[in-house]
Amino acid sequence: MSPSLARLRRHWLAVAGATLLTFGAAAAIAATADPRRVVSVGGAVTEIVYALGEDARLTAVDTTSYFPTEAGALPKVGYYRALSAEGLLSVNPDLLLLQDGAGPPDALAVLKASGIAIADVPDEVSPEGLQAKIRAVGRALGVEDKAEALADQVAADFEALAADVARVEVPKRVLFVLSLANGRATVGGAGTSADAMIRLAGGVNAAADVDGFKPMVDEAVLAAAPDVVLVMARPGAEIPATDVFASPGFAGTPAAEKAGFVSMDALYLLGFGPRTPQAARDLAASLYPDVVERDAP
Amino acid sequence: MTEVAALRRLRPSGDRTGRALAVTAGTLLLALAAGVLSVSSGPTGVGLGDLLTYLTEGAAAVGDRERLVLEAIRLPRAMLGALVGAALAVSGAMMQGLFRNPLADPGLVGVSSGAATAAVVVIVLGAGVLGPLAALLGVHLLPIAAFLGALVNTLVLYRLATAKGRTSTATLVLAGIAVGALSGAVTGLMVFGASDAQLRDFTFWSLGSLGGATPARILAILPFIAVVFLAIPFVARGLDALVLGEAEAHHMGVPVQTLKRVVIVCVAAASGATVAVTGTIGFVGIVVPHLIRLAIGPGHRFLLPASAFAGAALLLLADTAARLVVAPAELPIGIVTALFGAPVFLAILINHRNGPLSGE
Amino acid sequence: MIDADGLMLERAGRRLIDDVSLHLEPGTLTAVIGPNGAGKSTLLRLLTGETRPDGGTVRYGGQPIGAWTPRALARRRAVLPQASALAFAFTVHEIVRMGAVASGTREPDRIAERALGQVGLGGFGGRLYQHLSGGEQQRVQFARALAQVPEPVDGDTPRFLFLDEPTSSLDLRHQIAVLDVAQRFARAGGGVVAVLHDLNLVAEFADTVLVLHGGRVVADGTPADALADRVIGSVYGVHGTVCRVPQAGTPFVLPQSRLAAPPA
Repeated sequence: MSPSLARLRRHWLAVAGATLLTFGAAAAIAATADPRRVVSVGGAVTEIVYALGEDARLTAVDTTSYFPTEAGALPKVGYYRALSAEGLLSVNPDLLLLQDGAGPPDALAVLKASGIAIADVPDEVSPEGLQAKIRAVGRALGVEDKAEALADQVAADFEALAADVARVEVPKRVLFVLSLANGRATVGGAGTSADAMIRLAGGVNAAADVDGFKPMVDEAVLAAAPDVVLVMARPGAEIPATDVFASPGFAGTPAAEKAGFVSMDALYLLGFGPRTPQAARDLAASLYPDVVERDAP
Repeated sequence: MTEVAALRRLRPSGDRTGRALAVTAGTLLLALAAGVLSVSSGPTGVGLGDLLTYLTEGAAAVGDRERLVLEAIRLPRAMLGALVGAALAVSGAMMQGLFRNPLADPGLVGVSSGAATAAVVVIVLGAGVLGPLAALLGVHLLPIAAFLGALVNTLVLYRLATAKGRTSTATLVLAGIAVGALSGAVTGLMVFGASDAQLRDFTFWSLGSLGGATPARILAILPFIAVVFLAIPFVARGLDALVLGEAEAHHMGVPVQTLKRVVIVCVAAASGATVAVTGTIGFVGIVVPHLIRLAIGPGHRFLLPASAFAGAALLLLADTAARLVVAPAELPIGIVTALFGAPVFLAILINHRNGPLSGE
Repeated sequence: MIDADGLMLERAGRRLIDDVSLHLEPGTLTAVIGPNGAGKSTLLRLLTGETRPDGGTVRYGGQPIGAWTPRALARRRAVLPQASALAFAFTVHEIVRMGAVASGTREPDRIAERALGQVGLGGFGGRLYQHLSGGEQQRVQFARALAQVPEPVDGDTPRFLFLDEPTSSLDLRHQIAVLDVAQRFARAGGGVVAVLHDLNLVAEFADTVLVLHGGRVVADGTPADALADRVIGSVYGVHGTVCRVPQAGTPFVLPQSRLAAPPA
């Protein structure tokens, strides 16, 4: 967040906080050491809760939590950037797991004042970031040992993949296409989760020159010369290869020539949850079928 | 009601003051009822009983949770909803009077998009170029910027669409599209250049609902909305005369240029303040004044206050629905007002297809 | 008392009003006539303060018009514009009442009802303006102007009525009725300025006639003087139309009689 906006927001929060101070102190809904009614906000966070085997404690999730399928059956508290303070209160949670970026801040300020325990879960798109995420969830749920084991497992998987990928001689240029509206591609540049995944899988991000998710003109796509186009699929929304290669910018790329096209589930590919090492391995195996095995050795 | 009937007998035929008074009082009651409903309903199930206990026996008589829900969540939200709804409806009615056109609505003709663009500029440049300003104005920067953005678009629109004191609907709508598109382009440019953190702030803002109600925000937009309400008695007669035409209003002693300036500032203030806090909420500004006009006629002396009350009631009801329908999540309130407003808007269009629209 | 001195108005390099000076006396009905495009409505706009002249001055009671606030000016003169459409559904009463309110009266309702009665629309107060015929709408607007100057003389200050083609949408009976009301307003000490096209009505009702052509006053005087065939012929380009009824000496205009006249 920009400093001045942060200041602006702090101002809001300070005033809101002052009004709410009385509640925090006297809150009947005190934080419990062993939370039983957990609301998980953020797809990867929810996945971690399941991976830790603590899903019985979940009361509700946000709309980005759709894996595993059972999570989709839980009550939904809305989109993680548009949470409702009273909506969250109404499910009587004793713990809120909030992935970084959840909001709006005003709703969170009210919830903090209510005395509900809130665990902020960092969301950094790197192997270390994923381990930190797992540990944060484990701490909040009071299952540090299980979390440590999971984090170790994840770290080991990443290391194994890195060893496999090190054998790649000619790295492929991969272009991640977030969306393709009216033939205009929005691609994943440096600093995005897509960029991190491409690098983990031993690829080179063909759009590393741009920052964040940005639209890319046809000519720039041609110049980026990707060997593989990577797209994500959401339940019910996929970008077919024919659409991608039909647009003029993509038609002349090496990817079109060699039909280099990989489509993966959005949360699986970009979520940075417990399945991420496997997702990175899947991607690597798609890029280098002769070098990387789909199943870890 | 008997007093109203007696009043009507005393008054000459064609005078709708009696009915206007009754309807205005009715909309006030409706707004109060909607306020009570809004404060006493929500997904936590804290209800009317808790509210009554809270009001009669004091804050200590209800549990902390009930008190939190009532004081920290619902009351600010209801206050913000009432203010925003009233401001949207009044600014819509004023703008329609200014343009002498029942279809002029800040949301439809690009005024709100001007406010939105300014808000986005503040969000994206708040750290850099506008840093000192942001430090100086703090919580007030966003409403002020949105007000200025709305003001620029209103002025441009008025210049473009009004010739010789007449506004053609076609020009108004086309100019509105052009002005809106230009604002949209600037917004797009800002979003394009934004960092991920700025984008996140932008997302929070653009998904804006009444959920962002805090005392600080209410206070930040209150001056803008207060200006609009305070202006009502001073612009009502002039806007009536303006319906007959600019020259006619001048002949009847209305200082037309001053009136137009005041109304433009009011429209921009209301649009800017509401957009800064809640994002764009459509149709309230067009539907509410239209329904009130059907009930009591176009006289602004009652149209403006009755629209304010009815606008507050409508937004409170829409927000209550938005909070309950998909609980524990909530619908964006703009969706609810559009679901209700778009059909009424179409009805106005169809009604006017055969009748004369101003300036054509 | 209204005085105009050396009025000039230019638009797109064309002089719409060119050096017009005139003096409007209370107690008289002044008719402004002239062919289309002569500048009649423009002159009215200058006299009522709606448009600022590029040269010359208009004075109300010796004071330049710019020194009057809109509100004070509204109590000195009322204006009936050419037909206008309304975007919102006001009732007849509400419209006429606006004029009454502008007059500063404490009884706007009574004044409005009286004005409606004067134009023969008593009982029309509850009707919606939009639902009236063109002629009825014009009379409502006339009633609104009347309500704005409810008494021709306020204390000892005369009030003025400016009427831009007040009879254009009216049938014969109402043309006469409207000018009758205007004439009575003048007889009672007010001043009336009316742009008219029907020269017969001018001949009957006007006290003085101002003939405008190309933005200039080309004739000015009583109907008997101003409505001379020489003037009408040169201004309208139609000769031999002015006839006189010998007994009263009142001129009348019979378009058909041009067929019998010798070629100009």
